[in-house]
Order: sequence, then C-alpha cells, then structure tokens
Amino acid sequence: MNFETVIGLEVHVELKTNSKMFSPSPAGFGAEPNSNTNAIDWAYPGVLPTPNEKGIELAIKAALALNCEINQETKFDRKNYIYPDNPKAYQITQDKQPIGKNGFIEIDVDGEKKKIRIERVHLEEDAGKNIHGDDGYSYVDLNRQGTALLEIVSEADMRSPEEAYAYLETLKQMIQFTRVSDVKMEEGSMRADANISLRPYGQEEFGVKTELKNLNSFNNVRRGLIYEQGRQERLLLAGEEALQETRRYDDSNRQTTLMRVKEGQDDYRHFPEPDIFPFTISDEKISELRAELPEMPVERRKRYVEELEIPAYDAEVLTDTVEMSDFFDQTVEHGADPKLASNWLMGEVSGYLNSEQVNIEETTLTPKALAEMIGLIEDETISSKIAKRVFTELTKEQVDDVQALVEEKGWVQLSDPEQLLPIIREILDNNEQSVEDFKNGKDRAKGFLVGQVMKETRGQANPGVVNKLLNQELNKR
Amino acid sequence: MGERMKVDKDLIQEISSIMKLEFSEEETKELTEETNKTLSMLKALSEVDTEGVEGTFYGRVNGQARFRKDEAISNEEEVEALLEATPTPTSVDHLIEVPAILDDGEGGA
Repeated sequence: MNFETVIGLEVHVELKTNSKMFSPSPAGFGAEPNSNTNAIDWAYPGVLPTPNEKGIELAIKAALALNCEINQETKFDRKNYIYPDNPKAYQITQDKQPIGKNGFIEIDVDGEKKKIRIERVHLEEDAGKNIHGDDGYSYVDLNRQGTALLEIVSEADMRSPEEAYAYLETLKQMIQFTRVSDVKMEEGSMRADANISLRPYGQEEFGVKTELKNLNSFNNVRRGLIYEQGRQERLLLAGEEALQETRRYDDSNRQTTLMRVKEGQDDYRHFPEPDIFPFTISDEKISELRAELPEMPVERRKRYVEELEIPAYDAEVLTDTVEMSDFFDQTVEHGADPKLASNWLMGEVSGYLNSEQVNIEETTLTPKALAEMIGLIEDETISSKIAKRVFTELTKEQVDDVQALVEEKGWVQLSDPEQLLPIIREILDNNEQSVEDFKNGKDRAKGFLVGQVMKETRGQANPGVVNKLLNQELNKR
Repeated sequence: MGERMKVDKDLIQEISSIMKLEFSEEETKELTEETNKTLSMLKALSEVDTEGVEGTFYGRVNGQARFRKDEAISNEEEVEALLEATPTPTSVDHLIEVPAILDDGEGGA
C-alpha cells in the first residue's frame, strides 16, 4: 500500500428505556407496526416533547464509561430532516453541546494496544422505518420513531479496517456492560456508519472521505472498508481523485455502490429546540451515575487472571457479556471454585444457553445453585456425571437447596465401602468368566465389571472408590 | 439578515422542493409576495442594535427543562384513530402509506 487509511466511525445505539425519549409511547422491538405510537410521535399540531429522565441518565452513564467529559450545561437542538419516518420534519438531537465529549477507548489489535479518541457522545431520537414497496409507495412504521438514541462519534483515529472492527467490538462490549443498551446489530439497536479516506504516507492533511452506509454487521463494516480502501487506492493510483460521496455496501457482491455525491458540507440548519429548555447536569448526578458504573471488561479480565487464577482464555470468554461475567462473579462469591465455575459456565451452561437461545438471566439457574452444585461435586456427594442431571433440574425451575434436591432424587454418590463391597462381591461371584478373563490379562473385563457395579447402583457409585475396591477384591481371587 | 434579501419565485420553488411540497403557479406567486412582506417587517426589527446580546430561543429566560419519569403508556384507541386519520386509507398491516421514498442514504437517524 502506498497510502495510509484513515477511518472514523459513527455508531448509534438505542438506549434501553421503557418509553420513548420525548413521548410516553412504549419503546421496544417487534411490536405490531405503529402500535407503539401516539400523537406526539405522529407530530400532530400542538403536541410538545417532554424528555425522558432515564434516557438522559443512560446517556450520561455511557459517556462516563467512554471516558468523556460531561457538558454540564446542555440542551437539545433541531436538525432539519425531511423524510416520512420522522413526521416532525426535524430530529431532536444535540448540536454544539453534546452530553459527552473528548472521551476515548482502548482497543487491542493482535496484542497491540491503541487509544481511539471519541469526539462526542450525544443524545437524540431515532427515526421510524420506511419499507419500500414496488407499487410507487413506501410504507412507514413509526414504532421506532422517537426511541432514545445515542450517537457516538469517534475521531478519525483508526488506520485499518481491522482497527475499525476492534473499535466496534470494544465499544459494543463496554456499552453492553453499562447495560444502557442491548447493542444488538441484528435488531438494529446498534448501527454503524464509517468514514474512510486515504492519504499518502507522511501527509498530514486528510484525503477526501467517503461515507459508508448499510453496514449491518461488524463483518460488513470490515469487508466494506476493505473494499472501499482498495477502490480509493485504485482511483488515486490512476491519478484520479476520490469524490466526497455516500456509498452503500452490498454484501452479496462485496462491493460499495454510489448513493449520492455530496457537494460541500451538509447543512442541517441546526437550531435550539425551543420546546425544551436547556438543562444543567449537577456534580451530584454525575457522581451518582459514575458510582453505578460496573467494572469494565478489561479490568474484569485482569482480576480474573490475577486474583482468581483462571486462564486468560476463560477470562476472555466469561467477559463476553456482562450477564455471564456477573453470573460468574456471583457464583464465585457463593463459594464456588473459580476454575470449576468457569468450566461449568463455558461448557454445560453455555451449551444450554445456545441450544435454548436464551440469555443466562432468563433462565432459572442461579449463581447460588450453581455454586452449591459445584460444592457437591467437590466433596464427592455427587459424581460429575450425576451433576449433569442436577444441572438439567436447575434449568427446569429455580432450586434454592441443591443438597435437598440431590437427596430427594436419591442421587447422592455411593462412596461408602461398607455399602459397596457386598455389591462388588456379588457381581464378582456372578461373573466368574470376567474374573477369569481379567486374570488372563484382559483389561476390558474390568471395565465390564465396573459397568455392572454402576448399573447395579443406578449410576450412583463413586467410580474412584469402585475402582479401588474392585482392584482389591480381584487381587484376592 | 444583514443584506436586504429579495425572495423570488425561483427561491420559493427551491424551498418547496426541499420541503417536498407542491404549489400551483398562483400559490407560488402569493407565497413570494407574502414572504417578501414578512421579510420587510423583519428588516425593521433588524435595525435594533443587538450587539453582545445573546439570542433568545425560549419563551422564558433561565428556564430549566422538566423531565418525565420513564413510564410507558400505550393507547390502542389513539393508535387506531391516528391510523384512521391518515390521508390515504392505508393500514396495509397497520402501516402508513406514503409516496415512494428515494433512498439517497440520508434517511434514518
């Protein structure tokens, strides 16, 4: 490559509020078209917006998590916008006084750490959805119109599509940990637009940038940027100039196509939203919200490895989502061995969540029950084989006393030689051929005998103890 | 609005096209005249010296925004009435029918 790539990202995340940002309509995904609307969302004459306090708090929280300064004197502005998915013909947003500014996050690409600055974090309202028909009409669903939306604008600090990908992953995880948004790209609660330009190495001035739209997955962001990087390089090498344009990424042929050429800066004619007074964010409010911020993924991973002594790989997997990470922390708090807890969560539990397509918080499994079950495995009350049956029970309904459940089901492992010996002796008596085979060096015969003991005890015998006793008895014969 | 601004038919047409509104020849003429009248009234205001005075955007000085608690309110009857009142009798699956929108990459927040 003869050129340096310069990338900036604009990310939108929908905030997890019950109602919309400026109207009390329910906010949420998947309802019948237009059922979550009211006269305010439809922009009927005379209606007035009232900001949702929770939306503002979530925005401040996100800004704090992203290391931003908070604009304590702030306000809303109108941005002219003339599409039917927002019937007001303007979007309520923030122009000169975004809630957060001058933040940063740290990304890691192949072990190399890099700080990506965040220019601004501002609060606005989402637009509805246009569905394009082929009959000369479009169809509008205003359910999403007015949903609290956070726009996070990075500085043009990324130098490769891989860095852009890492930025999105890190950002998504951090936002998810603050629990201010579901950050689900497939449901549209997280969306990304990218600006990309090329410049000769050593040149300070940025090249002409194109804006990429329709990037509906992190992989599409990466692929779209890789394509666009190549396209601009070919243009520049041919002695042509890139144009300032908006391009759409089409994943089916892995190309970007022109949507429109921009002439100069867009003029959205922002002006203060006269229907909502400005507002002041107090120091107290900021410290209160800062105190609610959870430990971030990077710190958690460090703690897991250093204090709980679990492998870095486990720490990475466990901190993928805040729900899993919190569950792990609470399981350990309830006394479970960290490595065993991690094994269970990454193995059996994750398998269950994947097959059921649910979040761990939506299950009946509790950290306390998991910790108790792990304790029962450790003190050999149950075998790890039986533990899988216990686990199935824990996913059927919430269990508060795992010990009682195990006893009630008769799943307590049989480890007492006094109880096991008579069974073993009887099996040896009844299987003289196998004993003979074993004496003649056929190891498989012993496996068969163990199997018989397990069968006789309905899987409850402690395999370790059975093995030991069986060896003793076989030697006696 | 330092310079005296003259609004003509072309400007009105340009603005209407941005606003996606359609006016007849007669309406355009009327709008042009009215807009010019309004502007000359505003010109009188612009003669006041406002050097160093901060703009007022709100109905009251030093007001602080009031917030709402995050409580969702559904109103099925209101939704039905709103859908009923759309200019095109729509409601193909509860959707609002509008003239085809050309997707030029600007839509969406």
